[in-house]
Amino acid sequence: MLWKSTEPVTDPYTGVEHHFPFGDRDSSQSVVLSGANILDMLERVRLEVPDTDPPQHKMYWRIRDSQLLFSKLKNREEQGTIWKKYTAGGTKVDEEADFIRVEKKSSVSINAVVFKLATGMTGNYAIASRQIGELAAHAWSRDLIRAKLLYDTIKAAGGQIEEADIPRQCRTKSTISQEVETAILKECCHWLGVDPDKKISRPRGQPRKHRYKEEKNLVSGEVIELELLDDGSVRGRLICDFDGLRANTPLETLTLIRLAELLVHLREKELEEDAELLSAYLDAVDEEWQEKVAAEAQGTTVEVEDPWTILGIDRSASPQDIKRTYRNIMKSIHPDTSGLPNWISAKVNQAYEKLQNQ
Amino acid sequence: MAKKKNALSNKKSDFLAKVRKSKTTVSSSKSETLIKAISTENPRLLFSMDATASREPVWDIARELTAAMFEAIPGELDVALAYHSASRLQEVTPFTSKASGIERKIQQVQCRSGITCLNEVLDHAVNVTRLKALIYIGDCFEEEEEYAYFLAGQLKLKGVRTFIFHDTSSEYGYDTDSAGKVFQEIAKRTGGAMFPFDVNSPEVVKALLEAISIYAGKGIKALRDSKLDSAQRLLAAMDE
Repeated sequence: MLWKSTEPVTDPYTGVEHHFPFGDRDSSQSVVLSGANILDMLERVRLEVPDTDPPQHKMYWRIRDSQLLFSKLKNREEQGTIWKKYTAGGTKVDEEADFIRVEKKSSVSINAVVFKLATGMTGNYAIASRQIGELAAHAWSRDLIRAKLLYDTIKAAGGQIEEADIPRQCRTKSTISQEVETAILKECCHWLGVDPDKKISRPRGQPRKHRYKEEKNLVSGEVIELELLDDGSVRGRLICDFDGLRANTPLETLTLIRLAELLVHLREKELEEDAELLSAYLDAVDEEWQEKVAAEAQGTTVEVEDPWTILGIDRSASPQDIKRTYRNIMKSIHPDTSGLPNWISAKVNQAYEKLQNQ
Repeated sequence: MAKKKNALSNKKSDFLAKVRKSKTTVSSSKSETLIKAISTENPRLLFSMDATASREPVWDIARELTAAMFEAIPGELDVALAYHSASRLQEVTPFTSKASGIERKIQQVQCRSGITCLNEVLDHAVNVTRLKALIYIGDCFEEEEEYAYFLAGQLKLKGVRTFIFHDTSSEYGYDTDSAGKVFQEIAKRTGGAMFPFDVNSPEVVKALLEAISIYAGKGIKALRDSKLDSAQRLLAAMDE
């Protein structure tokens, strides 16, 4: 739709008066008209909100001053009288209110893959192209209705309106090309038996968006919740009743053995996430928890092996003494010569290494 | 009378026979339950690296060194390789206990320019089960710091320590200093450590990796008991 001026518009650079659109619009023959189209008459600007201190800025839509459509004198050679970017043209169909409806040829550019899909589905380039043309024409006419509504809304509001007040149906959702592509891809989904509206829960390769600035840093499964406190320590609790324990039981009130039992029961219920969290918690609480639990299971306490006792020497012994004693012992218990089992010499070796490290 | 008594005893023995046949399970003793608490599955280590263009100048050396580091990893540990280049997390290999496949993979990795994606690596690591340690080799950090620290907290809760090797050899004015601060903070928050990735002393780096794999495979106690110099250095850096 081309904008129709009811009164002549004065060219700010030459002072000449013009009627929009250019061309013989009263002719009954098909004449190509050129002028500004409906959307060119609208502009989106950032303006100061009146009566605010300190000044606030908001986005507004308003009707463009028609004088702005003229190009500067030095650019006239290549651009013509009106700015090239605001120029539209076409053959007149009919007139309505502020506009003249015109017909014109246009093109749409779409993704090569989408075009191939369309060709594949229709089986023929020509049919595919025609269908794409139809889709685009529909999209354009929908867009024109939207543009008309937007223009009318702005005009009704006195030529200027805050962006937030524009009704939803006046806003653009996507470009014409995108609409055509979406239609083809949806068709393709139906063709393949896939529901195109199915939500993809987690796009591949995209990191999850945590609202981490407002949230506490915690992770939770179905039963266990761990929270990282500001001082770097970890606190855990039960979210729900589990294994005879009440919800909200803090993990720090449970013994190591009780936690280990809880871990087993979580694994039995196949709550892997919770089991993972609890074992991480156990690691943090006691690095030797596995050994202690193993000892408890075998009914023994952890045997503290003193390297000094194993080698049978006094704590005041010098490094040379330790070495001599170790060699003497090894001579008599070496598995190759003495016939004693390996573990005896292994134990002595271990004890010796431990002392060497000290 | 005698017959009746016999009938009664018959009933009793029948009943007992039925009981013997029935499938009652004795509740497992406490120790049997407890022994199951000790996991038998291999712990995991995720090895990740920055393959963006800033690392190009020393890439060949870095690649050789990285491959060499893998030789130090023992068999009882499952390892996977992840790398980011061209502004995204390019690839994460499956976890395997055989290092040879990963060594080959490293040889194929090419540097491609783009911003760093450590946050994506961290986010991936949060969701890996049985993960004990995350190793990262990088030079710069061009992402949101706060998000990285948040993810570091998540890793801490999951018991994943992060060890970062900071490559400061990058030329042409890449901002490695501020990246070093961020890396240090991430490592600290997860209970891990940061070390320089010094292409001139590959032996030191390799020894440290060995120590990290001891930690990941056998736990902190094994690391403490280890008599390797690098193990003691690692413990000192971890503030343990």
